[in-house]
Order: sequence, then structure tokens, then C-alpha cells
Amino acid sequence: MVEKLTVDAFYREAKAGKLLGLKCDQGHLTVPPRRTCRVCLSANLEVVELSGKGKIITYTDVYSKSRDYPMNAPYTLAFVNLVEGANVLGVVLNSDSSKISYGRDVRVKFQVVQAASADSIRPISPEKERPRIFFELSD
Amino acid sequence: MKKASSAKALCSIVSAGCAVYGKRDGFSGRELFNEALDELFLNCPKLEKKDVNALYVGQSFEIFEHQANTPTGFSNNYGLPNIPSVRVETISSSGASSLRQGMLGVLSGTFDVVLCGAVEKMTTLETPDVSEVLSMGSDRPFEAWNGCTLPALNALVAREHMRRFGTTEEQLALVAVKNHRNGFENPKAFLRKIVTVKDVLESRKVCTPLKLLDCSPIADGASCLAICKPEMARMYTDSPVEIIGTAQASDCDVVFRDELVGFKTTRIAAKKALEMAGQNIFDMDLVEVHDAFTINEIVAYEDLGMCAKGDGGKLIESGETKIDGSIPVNPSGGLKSKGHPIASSGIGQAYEVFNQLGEGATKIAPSRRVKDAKSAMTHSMGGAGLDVSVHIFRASK
Repeated sequence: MVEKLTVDAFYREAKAGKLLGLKCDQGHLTVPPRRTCRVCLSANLEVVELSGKGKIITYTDVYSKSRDYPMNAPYTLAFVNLVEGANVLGVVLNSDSSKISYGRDVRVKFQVVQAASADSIRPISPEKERPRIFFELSD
Repeated sequence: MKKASSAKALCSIVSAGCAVYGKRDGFSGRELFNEALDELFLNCPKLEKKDVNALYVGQSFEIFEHQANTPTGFSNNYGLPNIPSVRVETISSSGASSLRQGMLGVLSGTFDVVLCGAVEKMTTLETPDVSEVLSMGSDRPFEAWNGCTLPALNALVAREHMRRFGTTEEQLALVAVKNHRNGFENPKAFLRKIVTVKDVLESRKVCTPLKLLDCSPIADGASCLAICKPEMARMYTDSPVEIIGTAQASDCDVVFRDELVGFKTTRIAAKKALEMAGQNIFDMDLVEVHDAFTINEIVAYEDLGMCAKGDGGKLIESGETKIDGSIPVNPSGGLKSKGHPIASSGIGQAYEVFNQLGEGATKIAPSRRVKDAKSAMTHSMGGAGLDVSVHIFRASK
């Protein structure tokens, strides 16, 4: 298990299929990584592996997307509450709006999807090979 | 009955200028800022350039014109040589932050007269590129990288508000209808057209449930205020507008929050600013709120205390926030109708208040003028509740 959950370490582990979060001494969960607990601001955090299972709280079908996001529009962006208690934002794979609703069970899935072109000034180096957060609908 | 404030003035606004918002082909950001400054100095002949001690400029993104260090160019090109010229950035609330920084300079005793301005030249890029630039205002590694845009974050809020409180797309549309009506006779506004609920509902999808007419348009714009120590204001004008409350708050990214239907930053900043002024929200004769998306205005009603949490949809339906209602909101037309040149919006709101509360009121079309306005609030937000500044103003007439 990684000791310091930097952004880079989070995505490196994600590439291996692991969703890592931070648990504070009070038991609160923080995802994605940051220096202090999102609930009590404790700086005493332990890296934990999470199931990736959660429920959709809210979502939007994005028709007008940012140039550098590689998926075709429209796609469904979801705000998911993990069963362990923190939130994750990502895009629902193979989304069919009619199947998406409040409370829908999903599971985090990481995939590397590179932007089509790099003809812009972006932080290419740290993001190269970095996966992105998606959700699969659970059966 | 609205209560007048007897609070001590912090600073006074003695003049203001605003470039016409819109797709201003042929004019750079610097030239739009010049346009705002020309109006500011023209309307305040007693204010001389040599009186100005410093310039603060809100600007969110330098990539639109591939130009950094803009304020230095602005002041020195305009004939305000050698004064401190500083850029301020908090995304969409950059203008409001620029005003606060200028005020702090005056309140510290360092400066007597300060220009607080803001600029954004956005139409140099195509819309998908503008979306990419704007998404730099969200968290790069976890939001933008994973498909979030600023409209998308606000759409997540809208859908949750609808689920929790029964807010409807029609109620969201009513915000656009009201603000477009107000903006129709605002000569500075970009989209001066009347829209109906049907127009909004039938406009193309951006991020469901938000549609094109739920979103404020991309625009070029610039705006500027001249502020000074309150005791000096009468040297420059007979009708200064006093700032009697100012507060700002920040928050973590949306993913770390458990509350999606409101913004803590608005509640913190509004409470502090109103306390400074010794007033409550119902003492305001008009309020300019950040309506980058129609849902923002509904949520702002609630967070500013104009109604209970969840009742924002009912408040817009009641008509109380129209020009002739008990608490007019966005008489300028808001970002929705004026356009949202990101940083400029915060100063643009104060420009509207300066005119509504000062002698400029006579020039405002009766259809959007608030009668006998004496007190006002501006609410400016960066991102989905990441940064909020609230200011309270008082007429001196």
C-alpha cells in the first residue's frame, strides 16, 4: 500500500484497478486525496482500499463538453456516494439516460483514455498514461 | 419596513464605468478596459488621473489573449503611469475580489483613491475551447480530468435541488425570463431580448436539466470603479455610493461536500457583510446575484435568506424578485442577459448598484429602475460555491 496518497499515487494505483482513499482517526473517509480529512480536518490519515461500489446521488447529461475531454458528447457525469461514505465524480460508461436515476448502484472503473490531440498548453507530462474515473452500472 | 443603516462607511464609490458587453470583435481586453475607464473619468470630471494611487484588475484567464501581467499594461497605457497595478483572481468572482483588495488598500490607510476593475476577453476562442479554459476553474486532476465542466457541476446541483425540493425546469426558466426582461433596456447588456418560458424549455441542452437559455452567455467585457476614503468622496462627486459591508469566503471542491443544494460560502459571506452593515436581507432595495446559471439565482435566494431552503422556486414564481416586487433581484438583467465576461461580472454588479443608488438612476430606463433605492447588495460567486464575495452599499443622496 502507498504511504503518501499523492494525486499521482492515486492514479498509479487506479491503473492497477485499486480505488484508494484516506481514513482519519475518527473513521471519516476522504476521496480524492487531500492533506486533511474532509469532515473533521484531521491531518492523521491512513490510506485504505475501497470497494468502488456506490450509488448515484445526482447526474447530468453533458452535451456541451470541454475540448480536451476525450469522450464523445453527450455523456453522463455522475456524483456518486461510495458505500464507505465519500463521494466520487466520474462519467457513466455506456450510459443510457433511461437507466440512470437517483440511487442507482454503480461501481468505479478506471480506464486510460487519451485526448485526441495535444495541440494546446496542458500539463501533458504528469497526465500521460493517467487513467480517468468512470462508473459501470451494477446489475 | 426597510431599515436604513447607520453603519460606518468603509469606502465610497465616486465613479464607475462599464464597456458594452458582447462579442466585441476588433477590441482587445485592454481596449475594453479603456472604454470602461473613459466612462469612469468622463462622469467624474473632478477625479484626475494623478489622484489615482493604485489599480486592481480582476482577470480569470490569461489564455484568451495569451497575455499575462495585464494590469500593468492597462494603467501605463491609459496614462496612469507607475502606480501599483495588480491582478486578482478567484474565477468568476475575480471582479468582486478586486473590489475587496482595493478596499483593503484604502482601509489600511495605504491609498486614498483606488481603481478596482475587471476584464475578460473571451470570444477569441471557439465554444469548446472556452469550455476547456473555464474548466480550469474547477479541480484539474479530479474534476476537469474526469469530464466535469462548470455548467455540469451546476447541473448536478440543479438536479439534486429538483429531486429534494420539487423545483421545476419551469421555475428555473422563470429566472431567465425575469432577467432578460430587466436586461432588455440595459444598454450595456449583450442579450437584449425578451424570452419566454417556452423559449427556455425548448432551447438546446447544455448539461441536463440546464439548457442554453439557463446559461449566461460567453461575452467580452470590462468594468471599473473608483473608490476612495469616505471623507474624501465629496471632493469628487455630490452623490457617492458608500460601501458599508464586505465579506468573502471560500470552500473545498464539490466532491468533498455533502451538501449539494446550497453554498456555504454565500451564507458565510452574506451573514458577515450584513452584520457589518447592521441590516438584514429584507432591508435591501435591490440585490444583484450571481446568476451564471438560472439554478444559481434560485439557490442564492435561499442562501441569502430571502426564503427558506428549498423555497427558491416558489419565490421566483411569486414575482417578489421582479422590479416591482418587494426585493428586486438583478435589475441589470444579471449575468444571464448582460453576458458573463467572467471576472468583469463582479464589478459589473457594483456598476449597476452605483447607478441605481446614485445620480445615474435618472438615466436608467423606468422598466428596470428600482424607485428610491437606498440600499443594495451584490453577491458574486466563483465556481460552484468555491468563492463568494458579498458587498452592501448605501446611497448618500
